[in-house]
Amino acid sequence: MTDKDNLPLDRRRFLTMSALGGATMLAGCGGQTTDDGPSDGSEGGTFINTSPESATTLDPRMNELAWANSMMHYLFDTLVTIKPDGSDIVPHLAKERPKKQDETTYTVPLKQGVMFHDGSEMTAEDVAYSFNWVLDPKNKSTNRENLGFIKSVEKTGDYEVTFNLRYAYALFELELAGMNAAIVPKKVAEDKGQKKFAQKPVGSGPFKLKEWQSGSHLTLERYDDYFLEKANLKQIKYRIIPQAQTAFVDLKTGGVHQASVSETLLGEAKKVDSIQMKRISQFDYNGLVFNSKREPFDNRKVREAMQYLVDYDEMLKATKGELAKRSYGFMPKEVNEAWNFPWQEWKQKYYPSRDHEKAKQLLEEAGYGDGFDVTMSTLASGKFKKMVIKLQNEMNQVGINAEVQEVDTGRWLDQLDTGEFDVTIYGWSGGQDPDGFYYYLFRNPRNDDGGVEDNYIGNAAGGMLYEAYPDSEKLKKADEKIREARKLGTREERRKLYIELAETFQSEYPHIPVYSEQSATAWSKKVNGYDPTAFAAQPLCNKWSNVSLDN
Amino acid sequence: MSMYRYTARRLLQIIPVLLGVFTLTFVMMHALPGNPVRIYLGLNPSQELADDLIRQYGFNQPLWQQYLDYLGRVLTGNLGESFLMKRPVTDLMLERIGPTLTLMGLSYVIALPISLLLGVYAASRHNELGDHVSRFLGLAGLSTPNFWLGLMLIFLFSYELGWLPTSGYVPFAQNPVESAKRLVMPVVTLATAQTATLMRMTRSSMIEELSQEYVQTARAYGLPERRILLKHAFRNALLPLVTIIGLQLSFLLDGSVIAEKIFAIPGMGRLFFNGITKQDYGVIMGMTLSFALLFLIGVLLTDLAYAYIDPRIRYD
Repeated sequence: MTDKDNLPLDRRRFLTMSALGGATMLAGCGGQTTDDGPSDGSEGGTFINTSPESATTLDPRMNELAWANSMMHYLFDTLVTIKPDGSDIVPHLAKERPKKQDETTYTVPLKQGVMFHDGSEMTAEDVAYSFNWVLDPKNKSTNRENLGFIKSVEKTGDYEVTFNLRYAYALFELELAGMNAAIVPKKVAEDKGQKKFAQKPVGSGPFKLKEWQSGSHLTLERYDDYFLEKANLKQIKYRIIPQAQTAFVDLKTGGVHQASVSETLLGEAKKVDSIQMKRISQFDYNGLVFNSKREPFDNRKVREAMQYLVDYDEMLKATKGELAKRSYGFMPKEVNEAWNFPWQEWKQKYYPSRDHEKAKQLLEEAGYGDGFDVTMSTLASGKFKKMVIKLQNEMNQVGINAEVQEVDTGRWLDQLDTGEFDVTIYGWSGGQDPDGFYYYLFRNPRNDDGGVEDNYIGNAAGGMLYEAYPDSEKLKKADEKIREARKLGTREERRKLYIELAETFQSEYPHIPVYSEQSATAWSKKVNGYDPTAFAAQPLCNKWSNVSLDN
Repeated sequence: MSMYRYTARRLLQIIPVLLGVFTLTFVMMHALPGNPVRIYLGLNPSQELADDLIRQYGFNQPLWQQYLDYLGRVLTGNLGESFLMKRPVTDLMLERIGPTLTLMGLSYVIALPISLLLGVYAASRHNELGDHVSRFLGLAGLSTPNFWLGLMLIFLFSYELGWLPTSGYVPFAQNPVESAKRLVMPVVTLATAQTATLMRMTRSSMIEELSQEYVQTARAYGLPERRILLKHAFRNALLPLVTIIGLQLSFLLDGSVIAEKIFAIPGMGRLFFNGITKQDYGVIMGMTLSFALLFLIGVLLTDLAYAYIDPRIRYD
């Protein structure tokens, strides 16, 4: 249900997209009756959802694609889960929330009587196995880095596990709610081996796998022995429909129950009586990156001038229309609001309106009064291209000769890795926590354990700044703060650090944050009790709602 | 040379051609910047994991070695594994070959008779109203992009009229009626451009034949026009047509990529397309080789068909 046209956005940080953004609705089918009538009166039916692309694996331990997690959340459970409004974390497979023994040790008591789809009971052994499998380097799990804060998980009772962390980690519980931390049955996973498990997964979720034909459909069937109240729906089917228009017509004609609506179809969708629509924030951030390692963007004033060149509100409108919001401080608006960051202050200070005179003056001061030549690279995809072309037009007006170069994904990633570009575009999904943006975009990767190769710049904006100004004390401190902020306990202390970080990096203008995306999802009015949210990975059936279908 | 020996020789020639296709595809795949690991991991990957995977898949080895390794595997019938889906490419292709062949086969079966009939008709009414109309239709069919036509059909027959299901694929054996309903629009989409091309070829080929002296002689002898058209002229006009029909196979493969996307058909075209965008080497190579083989067989059949149609052709 997200825009999958752009590969870079496919690989989202699970941290929150799946922890907060995903696992929320994991809480099981609570069996609350809906306003439309008791759940037993309308049992059954197949809810048909759509997805433009097929999942590549159904093994949550090996899955890289955050949107595919929304399918897997029906098959697998996690220890804890997050409330639909994102306000709190509640126990799920765990009996209680993790109990802190010391800074880096937590015990988690487990619920008894939770059955996997093969009929075996979940025990501490399965839980420890699930985590340790991902952490074992020889399994090459793509999620290992995300769980890298965990040293090991031990079984300390039949129904109790103990987490030993490498360091105090602020996002510990949040991570436990995501599909990175899904619990799989040890025996089945070992007997089948990873590859077979990925095709025929066994979990403890409210639905079990019925049929998966990659490229065509995925059918899930209600699991009657679910540890919470079972689902109303008999089946959930995901049909793979690559073309947005086709999916929309299918929705309108009743062939499917849910589809995402592209920007161009919004108007049409509003006119259809049989469906309802909702916008869902994507917790991502898209912008323009200026290479601070290269002339002329190694000059801060030139980078600042870029801020005055364009009406970025207009750029957003031209790029995403209604389906996006401006983002400030390199974070989506939702994060800014949830953390009560002073984003309005930032807006005043760092995001001025379009003013070509001021831009020219800054360029003059920087010694580029006569303009210069740049190449801007963009993915061939429509939305990013529009951003770059808009910038190109404005640049030409102040005497900068800008050329647009379309690149494919491989080339683009290459450029970001090596810093071989003047201006490029950037999109990143960091989720609900500022760490998801600052740690991944602005830390100095050279200070990581093990470091990085010499020719690797990576981390587009942040990394580039560190490369450009290796002696900057201010940046050195910033890198330390980023690393500190993810280890601190209290939210208030972390908030303070992130405000300082936002100030530091915004004043350097390494890139211009333009927008955070929203997706519009529409569903049939025949669906009762349905309320997908940005947090709802499992909105069809959870503690708070249990969807049913009209005949 | 007998036809059997000729066929055997041509079949043997397929091997070096496939080797060429393999080499060219391999070089082009690796000439692209990036590699599947890099694209799979996206932005800000874990360096350690990236290195691990690159080693595991041998992308760190010299290109010639990767080439030889790959060639060795292909020669033993192993087309490799899809990097993204972690499954053998052969499995993936087998899963998806049904829908694609159904789609292509049906389009052919429909396009062929219609285009021949229309072409002959237009030629027989050369420069009359019927000719103008068919030429116009031919041009229209040819200039209509597949994706546009597909979407228009959906909007008309599913959205406005509600006669047909929008998309999806149901195997014929599972439910013939549902299967047929879902195939109508994609087949029409594919067959349209096909019909237009073949019709135009038939027409011009026929017009040329009809201007031959033997036709005039036949007419002078008072042979019925129908007999002249079908028995004499058409047979001779078929020869250039057969060539085109064989080569059209490749255009059908092109078209199926788009038709499969628009009508959500789980076929090989989409597999190929996704493979290319994600630089999934196994899929790209497997599909290229299979398409090449299919095409070569198409060309071979065309050549063999010559002999049947025109006994003057000798194989040597």
